Amino acid sequence: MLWFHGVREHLIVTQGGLIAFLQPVGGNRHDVQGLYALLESSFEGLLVGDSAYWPKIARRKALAAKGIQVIAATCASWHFQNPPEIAEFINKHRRPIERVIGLFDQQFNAARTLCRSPKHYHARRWTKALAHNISRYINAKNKWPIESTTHFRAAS
Amino acid sequence: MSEPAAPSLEDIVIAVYAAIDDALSNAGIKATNGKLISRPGPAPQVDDREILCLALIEEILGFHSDNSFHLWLGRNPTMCALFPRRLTRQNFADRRVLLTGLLETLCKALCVMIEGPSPFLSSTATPWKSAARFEPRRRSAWEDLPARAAAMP
Repeated sequence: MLWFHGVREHLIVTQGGLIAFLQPVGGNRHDVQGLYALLESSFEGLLVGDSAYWPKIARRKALAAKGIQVIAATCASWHFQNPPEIAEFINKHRRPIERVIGLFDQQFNAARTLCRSPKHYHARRWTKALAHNISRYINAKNKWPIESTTHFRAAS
Repeated sequence: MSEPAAPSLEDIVIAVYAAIDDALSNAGIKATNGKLISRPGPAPQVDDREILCLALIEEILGFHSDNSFHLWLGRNPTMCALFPRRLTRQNFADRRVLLTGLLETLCKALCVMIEGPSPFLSSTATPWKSAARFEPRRRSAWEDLPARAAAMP
């Protein structure tokens, strides 16, 4: 019998607040495992993350070979420190990204997904991510408040 | 900003269907015999686009479970008129699983449609946004990130 004890999901969010990719990993795995899991995915690009996403040197090379570059925050106790402008950049962009994650959770019930198997879970999570992006697209097209879903709910 | 006047359910369904169509054409995906993913067998009774549209409406309207959504779907006259052919809950869930790869592609297509080429791609010029339009242009932190990422230890 297969039991689920929790899933940790890593959201890759664009600068404008859209969800570009989802990467689920086991709930008992470290954050950086979500980054390493991207090696098996179709994702390519530049990632900006917090200090938990700092990869090991060998993995950084493997990620770079796949087309994934990583910039992560540094801890105060580390020998290597990011230049001040990069540290400031990460701090500045962190809050809007946390807001997107909060809204995704609130508007699309992201904290709880009812499903009957892992494949159904995966399908439903991607549907939620696409629903998030499509709601923003419809709002932008109709000049409605970009982050609102109240008018959709009112219709039902 | 004030909330807009609530659109009708029909407007929402049409908007979602149109958005799916836009994303599909942007991603270069065409439906053949009602199938967005080529697979053996006859044309399905319910088009893949309809399944996609219903799955998205379920999430946009905030249904927690497929069961409650299907109960609502069966009782709502607007939805019954718009989607006269519907699958059972289990078959609907299985068709959604079949379309998972497509959902991933459409997510990326929408990012490109709304924001232009992804700013995360290192080969792409990064957008410059500044309130100080009349000042000399300074380099954005985004522009330096790929080079800095390559130089990280």
